[in-house]
Amino acid sequence: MSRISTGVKGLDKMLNGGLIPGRAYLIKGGPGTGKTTLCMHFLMEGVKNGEKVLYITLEEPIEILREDMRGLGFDIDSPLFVGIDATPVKEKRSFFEGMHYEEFAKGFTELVRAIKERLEEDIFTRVVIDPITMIRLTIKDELDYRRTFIGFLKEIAKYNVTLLMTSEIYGIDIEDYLVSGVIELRTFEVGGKTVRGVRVLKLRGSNFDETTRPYKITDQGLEVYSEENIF
Amino acid sequence: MELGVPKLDEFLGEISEGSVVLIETLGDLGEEIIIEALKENKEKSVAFVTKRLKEELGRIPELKNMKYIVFGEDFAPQELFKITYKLRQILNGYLVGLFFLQPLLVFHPPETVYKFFSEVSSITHDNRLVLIAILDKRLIDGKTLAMFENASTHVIEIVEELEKFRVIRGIRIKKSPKGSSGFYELIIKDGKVTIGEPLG
Repeated sequence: MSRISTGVKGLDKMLNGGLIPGRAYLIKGGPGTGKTTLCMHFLMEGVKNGEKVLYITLEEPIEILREDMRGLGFDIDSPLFVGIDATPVKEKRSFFEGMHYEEFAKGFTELVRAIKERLEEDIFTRVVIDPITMIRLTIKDELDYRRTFIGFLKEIAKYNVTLLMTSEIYGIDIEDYLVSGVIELRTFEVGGKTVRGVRVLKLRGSNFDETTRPYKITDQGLEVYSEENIF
Repeated sequence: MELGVPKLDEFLGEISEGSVVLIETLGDLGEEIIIEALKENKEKSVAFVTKRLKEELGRIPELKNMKYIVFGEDFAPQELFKITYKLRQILNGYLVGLFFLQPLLVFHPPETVYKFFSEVSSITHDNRLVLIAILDKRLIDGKTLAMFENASTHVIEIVEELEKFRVIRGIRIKKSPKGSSGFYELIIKDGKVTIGEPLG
């Protein structure tokens, strides 16, 4: 089975070689755990390979993100990196052609339509939606959300892209069952020190390292210690 | 590899790569054995130390240029992976002095420190290193001590006895591939370790 790198060597080892391409994955974790940084590693790995990649931000304005990611040494200004700002910064901010935040807030289907249009315009191999927590809030009924989310994954699957979505929701949720893999980033506070641990909760079609492994956020991004244990 | 303490080397023989030598002692009595070993193998030695100990060892001329890996004494158990990670980077055949078990046992549960030691032992074996660690046996119970011994290939025990007002220090080989020994007098003078006559 072919694999694609997450851009983080230690995490690839935990995933038994990397992610299985063409599938959807969820990156879970609280604020400051490095979800966005991990997604950037994933996209930049694609850029390094000459692939066109798509990043959709629903919370953090893209300019702030670009600035932060430049600081970590990511080639965020590469023409192969397409960033879409879908944050509700300004009233009626247009982020896809003919679409506004309010419209998106009214329906997940609007976002799906806009992403599909973008995927038809260009050939992307890697896509990130950061985070999906916002999408969740647009659909109150759980069954409706589940149905819509499955529909979304099916639509995206047609484009043969590897999709990473981030979520701030702890514990098992609907998305965990529907995606092909779940990676959780956690922090532990011990004696005033923050210690970070990464765990692969699920990887359909492959075995994986089930141990929580320590990781650090350095000035070059995420570093996962795939052979070490948290004692 | 030899420790540089004549009689101990005679008892232990050549310590092969992949060995873990545990010194069970009281306080830091016998730390000098690790220091002798580091001096003896100074070209291929690394010491995991606290800041205080680095300053002390740095004053010994032979150890001035040795490689030190320094950690604070208030090390959280979740950060112990930093030691195992550094240990994996050390080249085959190196001698590693681990002066870290004492402060760890003061701050953290013995089971956690044992798990860490067991991992360290396994890396030492896999990477063909020689590791010497010192452990204050008063900080753990007999059962945990037995587990530490189990994770070691060589165990050196140091004891202290009072004879009237005279303190007698004894040393013995508790476990080694060459077998064990009885107690001998341990004399430490001006940082120099000498193994004296048999005791008892």
